[in-house]
Amino acid sequence: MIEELQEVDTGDIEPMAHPLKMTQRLRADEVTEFNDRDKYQKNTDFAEEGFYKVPKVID
Amino acid sequence: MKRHTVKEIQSMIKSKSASAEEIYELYNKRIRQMNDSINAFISIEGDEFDLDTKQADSEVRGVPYALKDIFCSEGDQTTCGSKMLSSFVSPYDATVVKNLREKGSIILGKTNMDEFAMGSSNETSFYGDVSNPWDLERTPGGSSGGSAAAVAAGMAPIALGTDTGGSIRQPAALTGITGLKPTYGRCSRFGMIAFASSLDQAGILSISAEDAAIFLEHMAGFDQKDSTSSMETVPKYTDFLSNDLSGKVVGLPKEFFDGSLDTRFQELVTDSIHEYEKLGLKFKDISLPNIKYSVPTYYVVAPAECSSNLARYDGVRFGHRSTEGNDLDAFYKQTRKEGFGQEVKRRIITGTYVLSAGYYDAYYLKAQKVRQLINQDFLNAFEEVDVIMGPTTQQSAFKLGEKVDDPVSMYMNDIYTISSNLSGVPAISHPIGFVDELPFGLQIIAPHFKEHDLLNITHRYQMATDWHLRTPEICRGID
Repeated sequence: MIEELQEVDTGDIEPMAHPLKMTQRLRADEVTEFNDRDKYQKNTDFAEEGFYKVPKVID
Repeated sequence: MKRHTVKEIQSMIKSKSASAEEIYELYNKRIRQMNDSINAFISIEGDEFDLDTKQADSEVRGVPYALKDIFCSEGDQTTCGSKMLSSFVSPYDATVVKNLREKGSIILGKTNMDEFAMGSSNETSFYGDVSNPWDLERTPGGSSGGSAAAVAAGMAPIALGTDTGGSIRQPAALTGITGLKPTYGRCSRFGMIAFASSLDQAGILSISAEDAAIFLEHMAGFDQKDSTSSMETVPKYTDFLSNDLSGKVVGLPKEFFDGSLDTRFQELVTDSIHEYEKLGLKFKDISLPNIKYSVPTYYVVAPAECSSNLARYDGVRFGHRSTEGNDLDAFYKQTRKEGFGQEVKRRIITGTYVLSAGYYDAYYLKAQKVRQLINQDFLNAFEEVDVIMGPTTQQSAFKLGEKVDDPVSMYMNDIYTISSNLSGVPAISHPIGFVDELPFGLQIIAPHFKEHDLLNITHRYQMATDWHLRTPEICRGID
């Protein structure tokens, strides 16, 4: 099914990554996010002292 | 039962003929009575009432709604239809949910959906199939199948859904209700679990276009937290509903009317066009030459974005976590193997493939170029016409199990709906009649940010007809 695309002549067509012609806006350089670590870590049983536990990485 | 519209609930609350509590209880009771047979809800909320209605006075104050389980709602389980998120509790509200909460609208529960919104029949959900209220052996469509079934069965007056390739419009068509996918960027995507970020958009499943207009006003708008959210002003959609349709020109793309539609569905479409002619619309044949490439384009772009978005589910910080795997790599693999279903895996693998070094140009870049051509087809068409019309789907609701083993046939369900997501334009589906007691829908597509035209046109049709008010048999005998 996907091979059908090969029959289209796309010559010098600009690829379209996004539906709206908009530029990335900038926001004011202000603090907008605060540390809610404890709240977010409620979604796992494998957090300890603020860290996440994973299988051993270094021997 | 009476399937109340949002408009009716508003006037019941205003005239004090029913309190917001009584209305909430009515729907809560209906859900408890009907959910065993329909499975529209994954979770039912019960204790949020006080929290939400104390807030300011607004048009949607006290109006309960069903929320697709793809939206975060603070303190509630949010599964996205996946085992991967079965234990996930939202730490915050999605912006659209927050907007509605501030206006005093109340969540009835979280609705079933295809896993991570990938599917067109609600059969990829980890929480079981949803049944179509018109025939319990059939699919309600997908991916917003639970939201559609809930509204069709009167378990909720209105529901939120998301539409990445047709996931609001196709289920709306298959369950005989109205489904609106707004322009890309119209509603914030913050807190809405991502599938394909350049295509995803939040929208509404409702009984009428009027109800959709009321809700859209309250949920849409610019959001600092979504970098692709639009700064375009949100109009008062309800002000446009009754506008005269005379002089508006509708394009009928020959690609949507190529003779492939079953004659009984074709007749319904023709009847609705005649009705619209009486309302003053003019019709014109047009062509969208590249539209036939929509499905293959979508099945490169959407899996590519999905493979990137779903990389976050690694079992470490939230979501399903495997107890197997001795090293980190094995642990990731095992977690994802256990947590994701087959369709999600298929799309992650396809997406990773089309983005890989040797195939990027041939598939991903090629698809993005074809996407531009499809977009250009719409821009050209809208030079000549105000809106485009055609069937929403090729058939009415099919049997559960009928297509689940044939992904390409399942993908073809969205043949008419996918192109609007690729281009980002808004589109609506509304019911236009029945074949063998199953509803069928008409799709209308408008230029970017012309939701008010879609709502206006649909509302005028719904004032002249009553297809949208037909209620399935299953509602009989329920209060």
